[in-house]
Amino acid sequence: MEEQRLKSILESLLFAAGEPVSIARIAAVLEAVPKAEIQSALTALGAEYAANNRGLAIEEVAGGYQLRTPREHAQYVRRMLAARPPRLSRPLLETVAIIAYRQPITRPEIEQLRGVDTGGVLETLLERRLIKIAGRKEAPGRPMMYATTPEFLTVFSLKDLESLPDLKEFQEIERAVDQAEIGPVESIETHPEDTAPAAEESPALESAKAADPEPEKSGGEN
Amino acid sequence: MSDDSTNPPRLETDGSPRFKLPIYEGPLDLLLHLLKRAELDPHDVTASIITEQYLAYLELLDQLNLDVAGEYLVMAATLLLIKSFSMLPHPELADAEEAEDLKRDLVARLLEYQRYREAAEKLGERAILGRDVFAAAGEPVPEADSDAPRFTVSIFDLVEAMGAVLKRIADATPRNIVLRDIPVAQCIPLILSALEGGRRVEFTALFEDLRDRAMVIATFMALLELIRRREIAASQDDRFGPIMLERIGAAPVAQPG
Repeated sequence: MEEQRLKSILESLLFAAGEPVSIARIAAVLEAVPKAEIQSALTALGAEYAANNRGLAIEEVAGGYQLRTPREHAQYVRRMLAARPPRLSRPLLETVAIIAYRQPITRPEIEQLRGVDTGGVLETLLERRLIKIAGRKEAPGRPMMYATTPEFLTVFSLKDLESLPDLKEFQEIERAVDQAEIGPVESIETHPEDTAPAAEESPALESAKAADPEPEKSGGEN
Repeated sequence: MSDDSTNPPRLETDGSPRFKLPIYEGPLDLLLHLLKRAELDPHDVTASIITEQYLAYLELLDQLNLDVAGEYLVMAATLLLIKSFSMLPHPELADAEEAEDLKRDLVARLLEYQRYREAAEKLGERAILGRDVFAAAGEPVPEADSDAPRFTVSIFDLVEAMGAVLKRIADATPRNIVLRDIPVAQCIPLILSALEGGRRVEFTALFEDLRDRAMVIATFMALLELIRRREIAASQDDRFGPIMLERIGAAPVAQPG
């Protein structure tokens, strides 16, 4: 298909869809147009918007592409929509961050990390469809496990879970802590003074934490 | 704590109303707050000054007739345990090891929690759909999170500011006042009128004319309620400076300058 025409159609499709659409979905609509062509047309379209200071941007989120307003225009758009910005309180952000980096994870494990009851926050996150229940853990009590949703990726403008900031660092630190079972690890290398014998979970800080293998990261898609 | 022989000793539970503190942060939050203020690092969490301030904070909450989640008390017990071992002249090896383990565990928890706090902050700074960027009108705008209170100032700062108010009251008035049951709702109009006209008022000013501990506590609870309802905002111009209060959404009257 001729590039200008393709770009024009893509613009219509993204506008009409509203939510992020994957290349696969677009390819299904535009029979016989190769995915690579669609991809490069989208990239070119996005670049055009940026170069011409357009009031639209194409963002890659949640494994697809979405038409969005640029951040610089936020105050005007908010006023137009009379939108109350979503209240992202610190407990809410902390909890969803923990789930994002450690999914699937149980409520006791989350509470052990935050040091405080998390029931209300979990309810809110579930209501807003930012997290979902992802099965039960094979452990005493079979507690429910939580994971993030595609909605989470969309709201936080993430392409996929691998795009979480500092993800590698988190994973390496958690792995080092699990394996070595030693004291505080601030960076990838362990501190010299942390070669003392393994610390037992002290009774005062005991929680429902069961010994678990490194959890499998679930994909962003449902 | 009776020091007057003509009055019966004040019981721990004297029947005066207790309130639950509407906070969603836990003891790890409080410790990080105290560490930051003392310009210390999580590794210093067992420093005397931190333990003292932590316990003083709990004591203050008790004075305000506020109950906290059990986790706070568990943490207090842990800090005290660690402190007590450090005070033993010749600790048994097993005890010394246990104290070291407790300390190491606590520091590890704080560092881990701090990492997620930072990650959460970074997440919050991203372009958020419905707040910073918007998609076609079909997209439902995420609902406001109506449960969590909106504190620009931390709840810990507010409670600590109350400590100064209570101290002033204690110094100025006789000790054996019976705590009356004042409906918190009664204090709401008083607070709102103090903030009329878009005025920005310092927190302590609300309590200036109050002499009665019951009134002080009720006023504080009313203030927390108004903050929770987002009718009032509490802010600080400096990180640990005086707390300012103002009405949200009120049109300011024309002011000079």
